[in-house]
Amino acid sequence: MKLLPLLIALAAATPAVANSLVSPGVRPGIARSKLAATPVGEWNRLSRVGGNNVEVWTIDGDLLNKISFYGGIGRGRTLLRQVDRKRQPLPQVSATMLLTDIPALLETTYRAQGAVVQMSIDTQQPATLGTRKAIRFTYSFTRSTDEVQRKGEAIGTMVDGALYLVTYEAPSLYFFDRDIAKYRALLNSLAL
Amino acid sequence: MAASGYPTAAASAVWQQLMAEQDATAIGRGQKVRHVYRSGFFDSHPTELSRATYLAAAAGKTPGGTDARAAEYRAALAPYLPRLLAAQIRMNDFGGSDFILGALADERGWTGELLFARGELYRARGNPRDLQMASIWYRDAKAAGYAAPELDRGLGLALLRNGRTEDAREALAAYLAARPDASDARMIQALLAN
Repeated sequence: MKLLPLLIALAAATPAVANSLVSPGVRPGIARSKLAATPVGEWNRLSRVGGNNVEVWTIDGDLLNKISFYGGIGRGRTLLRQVDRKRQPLPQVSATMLLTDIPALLETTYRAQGAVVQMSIDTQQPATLGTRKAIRFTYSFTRSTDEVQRKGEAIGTMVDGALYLVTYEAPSLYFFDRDIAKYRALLNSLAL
Repeated sequence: MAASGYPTAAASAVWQQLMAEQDATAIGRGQKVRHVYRSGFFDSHPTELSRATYLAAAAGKTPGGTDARAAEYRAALAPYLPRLLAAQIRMNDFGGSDFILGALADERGWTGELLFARGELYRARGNPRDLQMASIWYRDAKAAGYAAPELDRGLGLALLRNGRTEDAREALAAYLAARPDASDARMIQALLAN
């Protein structure tokens, strides 16, 4: 009988650790921040994320299509949680960063983790996120673990010294082009 | 290796250089420098220090030739060097990267290419003092004959981030004049418009 409270506790705890469905409609407080979006279709929110103010959405799994929201990463903090602070420290956000430093920060984060062995920032253009001036950039990269060529498109801005960044990443082959329209639609609904 | 005509001491030198780079990385991160001779229980390879030591001992017995053909090696690597350095600068390893640049400069002097890379490295770390040093390295690179427009881009962004807007404008305008259809031209224009 003593098992029962444990089972109840487990059952109650499960939704908190499981992936969850993102239904169409307004969704505020993405990545525990001011970011809000209104997805048209359904997405899956992964419970496994890289950091405190990071939220990951996917359709078919994060290796195939992945949107990462970085919500208000402040000065001195890293984009992702540091797995090995001693041997692979990640670069920190600085309040004085220019918009053009955002792609470099993403690339340095990926390379410093040791997983990404090839990466290039392909284009950088001015954009707006909500009402803020932002940078929209595209990139391509390869991880040593699966050696799949991936492409990415992202938008980022600095608000009061904190970084807001949304990235879309998918394999260049088939998936990136298939789902880019869904990402862009989501991006158009993004509010900050 | 001795039969090939290469100096056999080079095998040990590779490991010594690697250890020196690891030291620079550790110092750059404010960590203790430590090399051990014995492998740990779970290690799959001998340590760098033990390799450097036994290879040096072996080289003492059979010295081999005297010409490591370093010039040919450098010439073969030269086309790839800018890409390798750019990737190294994005590794978030300031101490190690600066060590590599210094080691390259030891053998060939501070060329415009190396000074430019050093400017990029300092700009990437981005402390106010680094940005000031970066502008100096960029200008030294220009004085050393480095002519790529990306130099003006780096210089302009370093100055802009350091609050020296007027000088930054001049450098970024020079970049845009030289590369009007660069993939980031509109972004740089937008920064200038601020």
